[in-house]
Amino acid sequence: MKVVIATILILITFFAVALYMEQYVNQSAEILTSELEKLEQAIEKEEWKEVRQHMENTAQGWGETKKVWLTFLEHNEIDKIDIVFARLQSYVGSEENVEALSSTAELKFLLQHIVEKQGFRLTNVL
Amino acid sequence: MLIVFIRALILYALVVVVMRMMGKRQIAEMQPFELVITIMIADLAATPMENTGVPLINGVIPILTLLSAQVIVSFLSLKSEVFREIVCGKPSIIIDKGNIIQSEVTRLRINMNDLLEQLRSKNYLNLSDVEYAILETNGQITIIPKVEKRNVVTEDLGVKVQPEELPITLIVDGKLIPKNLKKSGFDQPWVINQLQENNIERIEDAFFAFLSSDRMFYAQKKDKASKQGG
Repeated sequence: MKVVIATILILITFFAVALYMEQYVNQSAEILTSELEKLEQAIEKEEWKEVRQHMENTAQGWGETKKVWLTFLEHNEIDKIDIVFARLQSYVGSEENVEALSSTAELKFLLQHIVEKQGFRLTNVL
Repeated sequence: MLIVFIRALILYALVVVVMRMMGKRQIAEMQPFELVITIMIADLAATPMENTGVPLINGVIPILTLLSAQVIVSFLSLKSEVFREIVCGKPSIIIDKGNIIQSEVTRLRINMNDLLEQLRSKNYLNLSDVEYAILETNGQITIIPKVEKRNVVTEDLGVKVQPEELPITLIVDGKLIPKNLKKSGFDQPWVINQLQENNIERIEDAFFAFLSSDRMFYAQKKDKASKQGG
């Protein structure tokens, strides 16, 4: 009976944590995406000082989010975002707006892809 | 490399805990759903052990899920006969009063060679010696022989026998087990006295000592090599 009760407690804890983590992924992806949009707007206007500021905010946000995401998401998905981020930082550093915009679009896509892949949907289950 | 090492240890500990929680069964006695889970748990633990790209939690969650499923299914099987029948099936009588139930044998897809092999493995060489044969839900066959073919028991001989008790282990590798000593009803001075009668000076010099079912004390001395730890 102790094992049954322990099992039920494990299940309840698991469902609670799973729901919370799904919410967390959605929220943190949304925050990062909105930072990237601000970055995009600044790049389009070619206001590079503002771009660097937004870049710093986004990098900081990504650094904090990554620590949590690494505990339950596939590492290769995180690595892809890291690679594109590094590329974006380089383009921002050299003030190449076309490449920078392409990298932000790529980052937004990767974030959206992670959110879709993690969502509790029939297509993901199958 | 250290990462793989630690992950392997963590998953190993988890699998041990999970198998312990699932309960004690030999592989041959498991129900089909229990055997499936045992095999799956082994496989699920292996992938995150060696692949550091997969988060550890991706190995832990499926294992805990299977544990939950197994515990819940076995609990429901205990409480509900209907549920048990659905999950485990029910035993099938394939030989009834010495006659093979052909419909059951066909339904279960057992051929005569398999049946005879199972009988021989249970030391019944002749089909005519078997009164009942039951195919259990775990795939084992239980044989009930004809009365005149079964083994003799003490009741048949009219012999009076003393009831037997479980043997009690008292010393393992030089260490006295206090819980078992208390169960035996004896004390440490008695054990030391018994050891000395067996030419063993101290408890630490005994490799193994136990109280048998007929309450006789047996002890074996450690040999020199194991005393030195060599």
